[in-house]
Amino acid sequence: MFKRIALLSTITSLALAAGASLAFAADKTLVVWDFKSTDPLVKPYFDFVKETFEKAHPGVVIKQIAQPADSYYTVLGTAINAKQGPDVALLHGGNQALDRADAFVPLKDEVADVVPKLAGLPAFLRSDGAYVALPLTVQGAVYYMNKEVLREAGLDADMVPQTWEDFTAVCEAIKSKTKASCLTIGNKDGVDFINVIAAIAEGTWSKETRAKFIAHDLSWTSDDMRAVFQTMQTMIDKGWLEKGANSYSPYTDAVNIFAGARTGLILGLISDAPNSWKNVEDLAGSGEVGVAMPVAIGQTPEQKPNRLEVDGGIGFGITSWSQNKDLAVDYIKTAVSPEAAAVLMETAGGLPSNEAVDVSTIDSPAAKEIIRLLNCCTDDKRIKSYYGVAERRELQRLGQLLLTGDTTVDQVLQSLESVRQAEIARAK
Amino acid sequence: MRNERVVAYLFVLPALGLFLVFRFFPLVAGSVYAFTDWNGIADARWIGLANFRELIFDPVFRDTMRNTAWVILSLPIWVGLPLLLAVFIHLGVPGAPFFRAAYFFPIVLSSIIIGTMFSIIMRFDGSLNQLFILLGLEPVDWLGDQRFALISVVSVAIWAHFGMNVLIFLSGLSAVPPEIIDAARVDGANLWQVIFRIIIPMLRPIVEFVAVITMITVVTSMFGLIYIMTGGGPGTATYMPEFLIWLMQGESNRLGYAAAMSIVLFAFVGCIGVVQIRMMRREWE
Amino acid sequence: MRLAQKRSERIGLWLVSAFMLILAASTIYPIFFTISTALKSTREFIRHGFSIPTAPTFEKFVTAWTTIKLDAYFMNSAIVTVIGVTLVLLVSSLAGYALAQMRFRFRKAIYFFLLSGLMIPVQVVMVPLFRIIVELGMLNSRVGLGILYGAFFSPFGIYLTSSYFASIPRELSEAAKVDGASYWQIYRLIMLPLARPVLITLGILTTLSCWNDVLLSLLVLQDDRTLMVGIASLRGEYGADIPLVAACVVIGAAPVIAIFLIFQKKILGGIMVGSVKG
Repeated sequence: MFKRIALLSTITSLALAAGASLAFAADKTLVVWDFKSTDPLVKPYFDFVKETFEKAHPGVVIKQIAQPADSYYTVLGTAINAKQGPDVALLHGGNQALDRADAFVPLKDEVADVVPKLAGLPAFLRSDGAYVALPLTVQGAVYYMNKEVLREAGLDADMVPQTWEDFTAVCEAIKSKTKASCLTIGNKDGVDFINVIAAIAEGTWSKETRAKFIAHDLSWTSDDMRAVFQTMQTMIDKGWLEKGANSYSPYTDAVNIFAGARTGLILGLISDAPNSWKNVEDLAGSGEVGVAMPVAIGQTPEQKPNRLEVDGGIGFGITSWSQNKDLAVDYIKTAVSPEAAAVLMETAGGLPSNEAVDVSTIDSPAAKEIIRLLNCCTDDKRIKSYYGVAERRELQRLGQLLLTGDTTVDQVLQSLESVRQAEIARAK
Repeated sequence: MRNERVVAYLFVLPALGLFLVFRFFPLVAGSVYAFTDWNGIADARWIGLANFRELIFDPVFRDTMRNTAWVILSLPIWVGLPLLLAVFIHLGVPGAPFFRAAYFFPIVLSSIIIGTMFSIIMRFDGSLNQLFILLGLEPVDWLGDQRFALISVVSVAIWAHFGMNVLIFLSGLSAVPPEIIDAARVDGANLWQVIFRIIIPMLRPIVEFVAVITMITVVTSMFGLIYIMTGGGPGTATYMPEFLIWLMQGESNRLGYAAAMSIVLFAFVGCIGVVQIRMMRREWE
Repeated sequence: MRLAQKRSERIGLWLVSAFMLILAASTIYPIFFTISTALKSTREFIRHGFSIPTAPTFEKFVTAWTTIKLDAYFMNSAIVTVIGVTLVLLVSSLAGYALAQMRFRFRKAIYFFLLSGLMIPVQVVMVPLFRIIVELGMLNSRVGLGILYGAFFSPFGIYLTSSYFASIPRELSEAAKVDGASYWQIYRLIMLPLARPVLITLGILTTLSCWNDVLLSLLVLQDDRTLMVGIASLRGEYGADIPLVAACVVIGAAPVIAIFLIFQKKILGGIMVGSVKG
């Protein structure tokens, strides 16, 4: 009988050992983590990079792992903590990358040859002048306008609102003459509210105020900040917003409402997302989608530096514990190369950070307008990317309550300021 | 008898080993971080009780505990509703065999699947509100209004689990001798008296059993649904402690603070556990 | 059963039945909704989200199976589930038998210690747990994930089996011992056959838990995927293609629904004795 039990425990330990040995199967494998390669639109891009890289490096295999997007940074966190897992990881620009800078190789000399060709780098710039990651796309936010709704409201379908007064006129016309709402915020996780606030701030703030905010020096209870939230409150009070915002996802539900002509405007992305021009036009019809920059508020369009905020949307970084750093550098160079970026542009509407890509081949009217704006009017930091992580989360929560009328601007700002103060205190 | 003792330990050993390594040890090891400012990347610094001090004044954490309390208070529905349903199925209410089959479906679906389905159905322009409009009722923002969000998520959670409890009660009911019911009817008891005075009291041990496993379900399994359906919102209306811990570990890189929360949560759950263990102990003797 | 004798009772029962019908509709509707969504094209879903598909297409199922590699994920899920369920059944039946039928020191202490494990949410111990997974070389190992399932789901199994074994008179094993049977023989030849119903129940419930698990699988199989993690990651950063997600959901749920329908009656038996006797 004891023999039997001994046998049992042997089997158990054998199973454990088998588990251990399975973990080291292939020899030269480069592991790449991302949060979107299962998306059928984006998959061709990752396949292309894998193929190109493997052809150039015989004997090396790319293992592409798509982590669930909503758990991405938690799973990446466990990997960072155990120094196990990916060699290369896809990151969002701004604080989401910069907060994890120490877990990634500072990229400088090894990428000096490609850096001059890339736009959107400031989103990944460390304080020491090196980069956490190299950007693949440029990203920014514009208002997409449904021309069907504009026409129905008796407006010129090709009009582009420049100022708050224009915006007010559009919304009032839509509100009074159609069944549609003016703007739909897909605020299910609270992020779209943050984006709209950033768009309002973009139109309201001077360059100095912006710089102050990005440096984390702008108080939430300052007049500049209050003005932004008052504008938001005005939009809520005037009834311009689609009801039920907190139950809609920005990427599917809001776009569907837009495509179904139930709302005039959405604040969408300019690149590689379901709420960017490609998908929006596919659903609403080519030529039926107008593009507007965030409007100037409390200043003339001439005073507002005529700009579209654009930075590196997503980019590839190399983990500090990677055993294959040289290969990893080659991989990210392949990934941001003009050839690869062109594939992303083609299939997913990703606007490449690599300026060598020929974007003139795109024939979408909305994209043409975005590219015109990119060429004339860009600014290389987005307010949206520089909320402190704790403030960002607090704003995700409070924004939802502001939309439903369950809190006030004053309460929101005070609460956010105390979170900012706590963050500053902890940093010391 | 010495032999019996050795064999008993050997039989318990695999269970104990797995438990110690994968459940108990992580809990103990993790709690050390609660006294540090560890961010998962740099070395941890010892900061004493600072995390716990912060916790006391953290309004979000307070809200998570409030929500947990509300969810636990819903326990009677988790147990009572399936109990009544099972009794009626057992008594052969019209359509009983059909209900018996239909109620089992949700059990097999994962919270990802259930959450995805219901966030589409319950969004503001979803089919639930379309039904409301059809009935001439005012549509409700089920997931986006802080007065309804928690109720909505808990309702979906109950929906996801009630079939299991119906099943357990049904099996318990099959052990209730029909003669007792018949005798009561002969004595002039009406249907409701039979249900509430005779059948349900007889099911007492099963009610306790269900209460125990449901409590475990409630405490450990709300995360998935909340994650997908509301992401904790609106505001903090559906924040649960596990969810906040998850955020602190992941997006905020505050593993020390997350560990402090884990300790408090475990103490809280432990208190509930003591009450439950008393119930189980009665069963055990 | 001669249920309702009075008229008022009959009306009451019909009302109850009506309520139960609504509840039943609520359990069936989402499944109907998911299947009908999976049969739509993306465009049709966006334009007519809640109607019946006008031009049903299996295109999304094909995409799910081939492009998304759901077939490989399916195999992974099957493997880890089999390992996990086997381990849970073995570990719980051994421990349950010992805890319920044998007498030894710390018996109760061990019992309650093990049960306390039921109350720890996984999220709470994630980071230290991940370290242990790495140290033991279980990262990216399907066997490792199966073992983890064994650890996480066996406390419930112990609760279920021990209360079941406690209902079996100790005289039975005493008599077997007098006849010269070893403890292992008693376990193997008497206890396991007697415990068949509860083991089937436990097996099915554990199958559901393993098959539907996301979090543990996410931690352990980082280079590979199980079905539920595959579905979760398909929701993607932006999760635009709802019909595709729906098709994956149908594929993911089909096996467990099938198992459940086949074993429905047997689940009843196991829980019955397990709970009544306590």
